[in-house]
Amino acid sequence: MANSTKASKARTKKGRKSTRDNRRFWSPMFWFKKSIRLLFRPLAFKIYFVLATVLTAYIIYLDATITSSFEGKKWQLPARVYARPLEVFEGLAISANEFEQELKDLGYRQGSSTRAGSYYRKGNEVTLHSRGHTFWDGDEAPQQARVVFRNNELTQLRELNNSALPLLRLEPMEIGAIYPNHREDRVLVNIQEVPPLLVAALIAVEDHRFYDHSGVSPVGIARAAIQNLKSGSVVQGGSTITQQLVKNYYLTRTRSLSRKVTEALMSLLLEFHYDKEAILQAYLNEVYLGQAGDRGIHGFGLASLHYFNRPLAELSIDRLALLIAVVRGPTYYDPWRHPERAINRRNRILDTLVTRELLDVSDAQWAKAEPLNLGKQSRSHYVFPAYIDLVKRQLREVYQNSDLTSNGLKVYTSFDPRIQRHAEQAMLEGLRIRDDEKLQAAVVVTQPETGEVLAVVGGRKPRYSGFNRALDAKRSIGSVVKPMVYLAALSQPEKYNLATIIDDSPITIETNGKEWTPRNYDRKNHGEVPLITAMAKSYNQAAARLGNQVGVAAVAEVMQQLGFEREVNQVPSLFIGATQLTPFEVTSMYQTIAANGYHTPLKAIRAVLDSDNLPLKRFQYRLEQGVQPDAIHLIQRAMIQVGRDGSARSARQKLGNDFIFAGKTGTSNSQRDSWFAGFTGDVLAVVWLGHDDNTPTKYTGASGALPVWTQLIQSASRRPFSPLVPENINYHWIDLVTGRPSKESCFSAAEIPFIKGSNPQGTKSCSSPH
Amino acid sequence: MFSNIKKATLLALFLVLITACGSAPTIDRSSDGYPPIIDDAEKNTDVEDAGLRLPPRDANVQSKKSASAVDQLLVQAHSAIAEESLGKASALVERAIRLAPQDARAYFSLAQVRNLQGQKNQAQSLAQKARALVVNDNALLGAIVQFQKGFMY
Repeated sequence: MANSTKASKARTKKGRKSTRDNRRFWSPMFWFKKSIRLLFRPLAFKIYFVLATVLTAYIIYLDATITSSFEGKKWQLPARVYARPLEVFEGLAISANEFEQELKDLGYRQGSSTRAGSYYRKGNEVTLHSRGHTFWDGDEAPQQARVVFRNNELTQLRELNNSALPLLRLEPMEIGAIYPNHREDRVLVNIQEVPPLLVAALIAVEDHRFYDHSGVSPVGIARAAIQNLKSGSVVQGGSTITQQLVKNYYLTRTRSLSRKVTEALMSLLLEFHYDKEAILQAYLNEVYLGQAGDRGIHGFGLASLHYFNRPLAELSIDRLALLIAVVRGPTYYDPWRHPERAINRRNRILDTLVTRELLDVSDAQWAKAEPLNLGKQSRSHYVFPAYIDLVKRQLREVYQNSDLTSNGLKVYTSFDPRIQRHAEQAMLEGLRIRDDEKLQAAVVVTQPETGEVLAVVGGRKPRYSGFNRALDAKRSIGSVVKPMVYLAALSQPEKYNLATIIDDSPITIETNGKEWTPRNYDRKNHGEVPLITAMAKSYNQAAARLGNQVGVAAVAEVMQQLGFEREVNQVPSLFIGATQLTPFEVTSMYQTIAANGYHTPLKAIRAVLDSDNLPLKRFQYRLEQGVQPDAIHLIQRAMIQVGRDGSARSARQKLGNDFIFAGKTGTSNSQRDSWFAGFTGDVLAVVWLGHDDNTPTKYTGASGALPVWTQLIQSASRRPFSPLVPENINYHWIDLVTGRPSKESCFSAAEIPFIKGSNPQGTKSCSSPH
Repeated sequence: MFSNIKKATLLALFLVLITACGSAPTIDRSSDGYPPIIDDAEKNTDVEDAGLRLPPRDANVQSKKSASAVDQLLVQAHSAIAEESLGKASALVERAIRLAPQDARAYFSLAQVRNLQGQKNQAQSLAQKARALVVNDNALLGAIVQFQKGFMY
């Protein structure tokens, strides 16, 4: 029975259950749940497995991302372009004011000379402490020195203990950089060189548990969360320095939970792999600290230069605190736009430093009393677009663009800020008094012996980049071509010398059935004149006649020997300059004349160093004998005459009788172009004025470009031209009206050079009374 | 790279260059030297200031001023040559040329460096330029002439 009872119970149970099952059997819900349940167990496992795998893979991926980029080259660094370093030595032609300006441009502190990057001036005496710099020919150590000036000359250079110091080289001013497209800019600093107070303050303000946490700070997150809940919005990030670094360096700026998770993971990984120093160093160089136009200022190294125009190591306490203030919001605390906010936050930071016992109360008091002490907002560094344009072009002949924008190259140029300033001022003054808003200008300045480009002005607004007329405006050169025409003749000494008589009567030249009849500017005929006078007074009919005698091919050849690289359009109108050249091309030819016939390609770049200061490419000084020095000497003398009694004699009144220069005016048809090209003993300059649309101007070469040139020479040149006399040259007195032998006592006589044996013979006489 | 003899010759030559400055016997070029400029702008009408004489070129005025700075660089360049570091020597001499762009010694030194670098044409061009720039320095002129004649080292 017991069995039956059991059996019946079991049956009943079974029956009950089966009844229920039967009922459910027909329910769709039953099957649905069942199938879900059945399927779910293995799938859950699979999903967990997959998730774990994905997460592991993701962490491995993040880990690889971190290690690969953190250990290699972390940032793309633009090539930096430097001006010439000022070489300081006894005999240097520089005034105390100019010297002081140079130090100011370099951000030297005034008042004492105890630390690198400072100076003290008393009258004509300056003591300074240079910073030192690594150049391509070696290290220039920081140096303390005393210099004395007298009459625009540096007369004494000594060490502070009065021992002799032959030469001291200042560090070069940075004048630009070549950026990648995203325009992130930074100057890398090593944490060892960073003022300890900056690092301590950064940690105190941004993440004071930095040395205790391992990448994320739960306390910080909790506090931030509470703050955010209270205010109902995100007001506090709770980010550690590590998280900030990860966020800036690896991640986009979106705010999402998944990004937060990634950020936390990466922070943990970063801390796992690298020590606190390495993370801090990366942060110091990564952090975004401001904006200069479209250039992002990253890292404290560049921020120091950006805000104060001096290196980080030289910053005072108040300045360091200001940089820390800016970290929290470079736009919000922009010290130029919001000085109140910036100074308030700076002072709160100084208080924090006192609280954390990083700073004495008295030091903080002093620092809080300081103004913002900002440098000039538009750093003088980035304001020479025309010159930088030339540098870029010369670099691109050698380097790929990616090398220039990412490898941190250092490009040393011959740019001379003093000469550039004078060139710009002369141009601006010249345009201001001319009252023609459309009138454009270009100036190229070089060192006449070496061919180094010292300054370039590309238009009437020298701060704006854009059409670089100095390099790209191909314009009719007018009489600027004439030295080449006369050189072609003087290269045949058996036929021509400076006293050779040229006929300036009307002339018509026929080529290919076309007639060409040049006219003199004054519409007069001057009859028979010596070659030197025809050249000095820029007679067109004489030049055309002489050119026709030597042939257009000979003139074209001289142009090429002097360094003109394009093909010359060989038509007779070339003799009076109906050919289009850029100011830079004109400079290149005149350079060869100034350097006694030695052609040197004009160059802006002296050397390029890689980021480890190893020389990459040497831009060697090279020269080639282009034209014989004897003929060059003759044309130099004729070009001097241009400034004595020729078309440029107005410059002589301004520069003084003893200040010899050589040059040539140029005016194209209907005064569309106004040129002057000329040189002294230490400066060669070419000035062009004209309209971009090539419409006529009111100015000739003598009334437009020459005054600009003269002003530039007056302020920038210290040495008159003193031509070398080749061994094969003798000087003789010649009458400049008749071209015949004359005497020193004669009124219209001048002593002019002849290739030995080529001087005119006959009795010496005067064409006009004494 | 260089034999001791070459080094010795070079050293001797550099010493000549450096000590020759200023006190050496001179080649008299005063046959075409000029008295001070005669200016007669006022009396001129048509041909103004015809009576121009160029002032005599005195490269020494400029060279002497920068002499000790140039000396230092040339001595350093010599050390660089002795260390067979011709790139550095070239950079140092080019620097000297920038300081004193009309100093014949600097161009002659560069001619020697280019010669050692195997750039014979540049060496000759530079020697020629150096020779043209010599003013009143027989010892230097003699050394350049020797160099041009093929006394190469």
